Amino acid sequence: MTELEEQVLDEVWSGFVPLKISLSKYDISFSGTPLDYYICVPRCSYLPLIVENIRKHFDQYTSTDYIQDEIWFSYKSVPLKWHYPIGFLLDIYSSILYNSVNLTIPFEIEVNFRRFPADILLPYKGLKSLYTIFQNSLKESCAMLLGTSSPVLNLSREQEDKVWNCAKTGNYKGFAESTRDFSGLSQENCKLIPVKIYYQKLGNGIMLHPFQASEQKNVLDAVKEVVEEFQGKIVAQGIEIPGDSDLHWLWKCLAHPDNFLYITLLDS
Amino acid sequence: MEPETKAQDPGKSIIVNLKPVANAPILKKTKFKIASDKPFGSIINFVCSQLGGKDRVFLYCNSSFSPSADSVISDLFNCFKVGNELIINYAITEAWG
Repeated sequence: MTELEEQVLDEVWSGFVPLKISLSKYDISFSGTPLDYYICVPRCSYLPLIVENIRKHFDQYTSTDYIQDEIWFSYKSVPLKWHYPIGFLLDIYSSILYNSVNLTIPFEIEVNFRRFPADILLPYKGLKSLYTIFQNSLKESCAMLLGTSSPVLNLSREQEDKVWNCAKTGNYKGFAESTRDFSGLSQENCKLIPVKIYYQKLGNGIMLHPFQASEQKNVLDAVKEVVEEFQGKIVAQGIEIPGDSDLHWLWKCLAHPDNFLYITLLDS
Repeated sequence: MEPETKAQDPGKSIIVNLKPVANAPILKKTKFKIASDKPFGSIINFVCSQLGGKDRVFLYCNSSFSPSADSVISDLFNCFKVGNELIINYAITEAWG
């Protein structure tokens, strides 16, 4: 890892997303308009981690009993997947304006205390659900990189906790210390590059594809492998990515703490 | 024009091979074909029903991680296939931390 790469990672991880959260109209029980809740959260963090603050803030405006399994977020009434990093959600719902990527900041989302859309979102049973998803995602990316998840499985309990805490708070340096065996690997040491591509026209929205690290390809060629006719903008970590950027290098510098590079494709 | 998406081909089906871990009971049907565009959750549901409606089973890919229920089966197959199959380990208690 070069000094420049370390610097990029450090900056990307310390990026924040400003959120403006309003209470869903279905949960407002008292007259008057609830005050929106504003908060800046790390790009690589997750929505369930701010639930406690939000619940406290909106408690006075709603008579809906708070049930942990029922809370969910939406953007323009579309449910937001709680297991996606917040920065990635922001990228997904960005648009192209005057031929450049337009991030909708602050990200104006709604919190809902009832009517959990179980057909769209994974069941949520508190922070343990989030931790389990994160841990499995880390093992999955490691299996793609090395063919085995052993380096993640071999982390001690303390190291696991440290990795999770660093992920939650966007602390790259702390994360890197504990994950040298499977993060920031050089191209020769990688099998598949862990990339998740979001494109709204894909069946499930998101896609995993076996990009061989040895093939050394640029991101546009990689994207065209999955969406042949794609002509829009490529976004990762809120940045518009030039098509000739090397895919492995992008992964190395812009991966999220679960060690996946999240790419969003936006139509022009 | 709708862009072509190559890898998630809905017409294809994929062979899933279920293997028990530790003391998990052997299923009546351990190999089956499933449409490649289905989510991993449909394999979870299948195993739960085969185990007599158990509400909790643990499924693993690559003998290590549990794919999220919304992962697409063809994606898992493309990245983790062994030969021509997607091998999924199942357990009734947690196996790989």
